[in-house]
Amino acid sequence: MTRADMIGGLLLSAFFGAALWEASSFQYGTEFAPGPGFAPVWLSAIGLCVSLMIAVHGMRAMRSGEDSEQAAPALEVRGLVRVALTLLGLVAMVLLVKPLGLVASILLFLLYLTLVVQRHGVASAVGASVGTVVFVYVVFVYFLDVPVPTGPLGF
Amino acid sequence: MSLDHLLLGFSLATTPVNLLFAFLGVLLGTIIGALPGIGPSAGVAVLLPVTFGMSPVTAMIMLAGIYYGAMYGGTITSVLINTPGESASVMTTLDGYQMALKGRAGAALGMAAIGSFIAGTISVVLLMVAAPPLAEWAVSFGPPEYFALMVLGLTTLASLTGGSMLKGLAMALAGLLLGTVGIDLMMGEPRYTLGMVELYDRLDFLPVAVGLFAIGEIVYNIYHPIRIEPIKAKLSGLLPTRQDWRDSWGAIGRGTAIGFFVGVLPGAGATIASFLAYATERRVSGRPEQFGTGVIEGVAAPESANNAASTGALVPLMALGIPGSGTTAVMLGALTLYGLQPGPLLMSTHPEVFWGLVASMYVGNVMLLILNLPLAPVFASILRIPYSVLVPIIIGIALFGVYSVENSIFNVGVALLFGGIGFFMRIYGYPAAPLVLALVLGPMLEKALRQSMQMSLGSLDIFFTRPVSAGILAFAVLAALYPVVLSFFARRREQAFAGSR
Repeated sequence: MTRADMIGGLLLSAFFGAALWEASSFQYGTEFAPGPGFAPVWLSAIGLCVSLMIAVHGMRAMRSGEDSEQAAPALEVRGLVRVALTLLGLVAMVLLVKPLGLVASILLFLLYLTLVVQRHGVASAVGASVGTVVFVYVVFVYFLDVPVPTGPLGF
Repeated sequence: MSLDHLLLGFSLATTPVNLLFAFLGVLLGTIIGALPGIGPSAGVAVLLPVTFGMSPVTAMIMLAGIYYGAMYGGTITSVLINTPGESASVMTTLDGYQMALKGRAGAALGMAAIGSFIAGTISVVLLMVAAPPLAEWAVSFGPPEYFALMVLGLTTLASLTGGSMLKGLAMALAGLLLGTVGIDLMMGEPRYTLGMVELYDRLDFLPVAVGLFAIGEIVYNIYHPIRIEPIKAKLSGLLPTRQDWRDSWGAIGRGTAIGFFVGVLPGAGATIASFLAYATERRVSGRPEQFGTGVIEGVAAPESANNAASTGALVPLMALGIPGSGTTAVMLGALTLYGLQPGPLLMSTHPEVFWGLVASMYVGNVMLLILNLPLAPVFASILRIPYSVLVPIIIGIALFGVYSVENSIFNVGVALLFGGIGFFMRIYGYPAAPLVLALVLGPMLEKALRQSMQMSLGSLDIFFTRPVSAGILAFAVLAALYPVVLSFFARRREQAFAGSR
């Protein structure tokens, strides 16, 4: 247990706390049976206790300087930049589906991922991206008949 | 079990279409198992949408093929590059890689394939024998017994996933809470919908599973790229020698028995089965000191166990409708997507699904033996493809697959959100399997709880006065306490050891 556990435990506590707050507005029970609020109230209350325990364990370990085998590794900045770029690209892809269509936006995302984030050579990036999109298009659109949002290019 | 049912199963499993998809399933499973960084849970979740046009029998045959095929494939990387393809092959690295260094990679892979085949086949027989009577017995179960069974599944998975039990428990609770999202089916009240119409129906499990298992894992690999060492071992002599057989037959038998029974237990699974089988083999061996230096029974035992466990895990899934692991949770979700009602009645209302699956597993294990013996070098060559090339392929299939379930971009957004969350969970040691299992079980668990309390006019006594539910809940408490007690004694032993020094 580490500082990361303390922060993780506190974040989880916030999640369960918010869920408990929201759950308090649901109908807790009827005369002889639990209502829609019963499970959410109990689950979020127990979740809150468990996550606070995680945070307290982390805090105690920090104070005592205990080094545990589960200690989280220090985050690598370069790796985090790659992750942030990937997640931003994925969000942009979702936003581009409406104007460009699903196939084109996934293709653009894969090209961005391989060229910008992973820094592949142009040939392997284009090959992997176009090959993947052609494969999924054939499987899902051609064989499984899944209707996909199309863009100005017609796919 | 009757012969008619088995014949029905074989008549279905041997149709050209089902043979083709069984082959595709075990082939893809072997590849998924061989690739470090993508496990069977992610493989089954990502490929689930591909099965939508198929009949439920064909789809289950293919998904199960991916699941047990991955157990075969995981061995290849464990032996050749000392990196387990999936967690159930971790123990195989200990002796498998040492054998490869001594020039016996072929023998290790050969014995792993043969051991897996024997364990897989025997455990299909056990599945066939155990599941139908269990389902018949479970027909008499009421909501309290079902509630207790689901609690047992969640508790054991949360406490046995490795790492911190508190984190496993927190993830299971988060999954159960996410399972309450949507309009309450009994009273019609919307819960946690955040004003989004898409959430009124409930939060789909597949985008969450794909996000946590596949996208989260891929993002982690972008953060921390996998570097696959070049294969130095030569692959020859795949068939075991007479001495190898003499050393391994007992290990295969014990591994099969341990694997199957551990697999049946909700929450335990193939990884724990392989650990237990290895530890048992070391204890009963006449040469325990040589374990870890390249003894063949150190490969045969865990490999037999993980295959038997993957089949054992199908017993609670098919007989009770209760999955015990992340992968079987995705398979349970698949059953509901095909319009089937999982549970003890499945075997009587849709016998073709269970018996078709059982028969296909006999065929699938033969296919895997053929694939893994002469074709092991071909699978090994897959490891020469840089992992970074596979990243866009897996993400592309995952995104398209998630969209295709309900033709919904919202689901793609959910998958991305959980992909991001899954990345941080991976870094900080929060297991994903309890969350996905709880999300799948959550609505059923809540329904069983509310029905039980309606039966008892609001009293919780009903869970403790009915012997079966009381017994199962007691077992769940034991399962939850087991790691706590274990760590308490380990700490005591450490303190005593430090004191004596």
